[in-house]
Amino acid sequence: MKKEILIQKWLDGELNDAEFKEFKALPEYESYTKISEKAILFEDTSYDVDFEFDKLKTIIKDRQLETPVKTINWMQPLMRIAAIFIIALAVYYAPIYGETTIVKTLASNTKSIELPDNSKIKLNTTSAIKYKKSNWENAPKVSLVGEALFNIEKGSSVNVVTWLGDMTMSGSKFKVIQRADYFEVVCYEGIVTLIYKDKEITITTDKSFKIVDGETFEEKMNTSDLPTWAKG
Amino acid sequence: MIKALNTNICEEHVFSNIFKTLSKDVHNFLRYKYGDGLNPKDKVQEAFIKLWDNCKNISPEKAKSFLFTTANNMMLNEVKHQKVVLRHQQIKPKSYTNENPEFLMEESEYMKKYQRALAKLTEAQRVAFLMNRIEGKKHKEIAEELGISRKGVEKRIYGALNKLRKEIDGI
Repeated sequence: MKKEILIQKWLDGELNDAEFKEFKALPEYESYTKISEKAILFEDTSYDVDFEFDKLKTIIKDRQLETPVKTINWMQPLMRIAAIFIIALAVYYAPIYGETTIVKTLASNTKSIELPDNSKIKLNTTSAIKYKKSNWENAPKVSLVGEALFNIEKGSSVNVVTWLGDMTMSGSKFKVIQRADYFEVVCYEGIVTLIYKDKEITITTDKSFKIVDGETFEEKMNTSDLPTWAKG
Repeated sequence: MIKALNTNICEEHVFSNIFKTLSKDVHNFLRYKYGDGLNPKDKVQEAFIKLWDNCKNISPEKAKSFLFTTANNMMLNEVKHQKVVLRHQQIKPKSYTNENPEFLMEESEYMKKYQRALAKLTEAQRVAFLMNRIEGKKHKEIAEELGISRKGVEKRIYGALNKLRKEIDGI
């Protein structure tokens, strides 16, 4: 038999007795068998399938534990987007909450307005008031241009701002006329204090205070009648 | 063996079965081909992790080729011109025999030569030869496992044997 085939058969463990004798007679016999025997020493006997499998399971489990962290990472951009929306909405709605209420009247037109503290304002023609609902408790403030009758709720006080300055009214009924060169406050009930040229002026019931062309007049008047436009 | 029908690698018992059937083969294949220097055990782990990650996309019958290919590629990524070194067990002097030190020395020398000679084989030769000699696999099995012809396996193993003999015996 051809040497190569003989050896290949030996390597495959297929030699019969006769063939094995033939193989044994080869000069390389000893060398081959030694190589074959010693090959076993190159085996890695440390490979333990169960141990390796446990190790693998641990690795996979550890990774799964890390997965929620990944989800959080994924959540982060979502939270950012949500935050942007919230901020955008807040910015969009903020002016409504902090918005200034403006009430205007045209010629031959009057209006009644109720302030957040139930005080009432009657606005004569071509006048306007401006106030903020949102901050009313901290700063009850009404800006006025034109003519208006204020009926301040008892126990409340309101700050009326005109070109002249701030007036503080409490629990009073009064009229303010404020036109280009003319200013008048008529007090029907209670007390009105106002500051004019750093001087505090107090106007009591049935008194009026006028500024005409820079001249100030304080007058006593009969205020039993409200202005005609404010009636009814 | 692995049941192919109606099974999914994502099922733990299937995965476990595949691991227990194939991991050692993958490990040995990597070792024989690339030596011990590149941590074949780790590569086996990594290959199986990849298999787990892709368990939905790989049918059990494809698992084997996937594992071998993946593990092999992982090795290729690392292998540059690294010398193939296969560790061997030390020949321990047996306390109850009177093996003389000279003999042990010779044996140790022999193994060193053997190791170097193994490194000089081609990858294909080394893999086939060691599968045959260490694991006692028949030529036919090796042919199936490596996806080559039986003739090819015989040629490789025979070629390896002769090359080893020449290297070791210094012919």
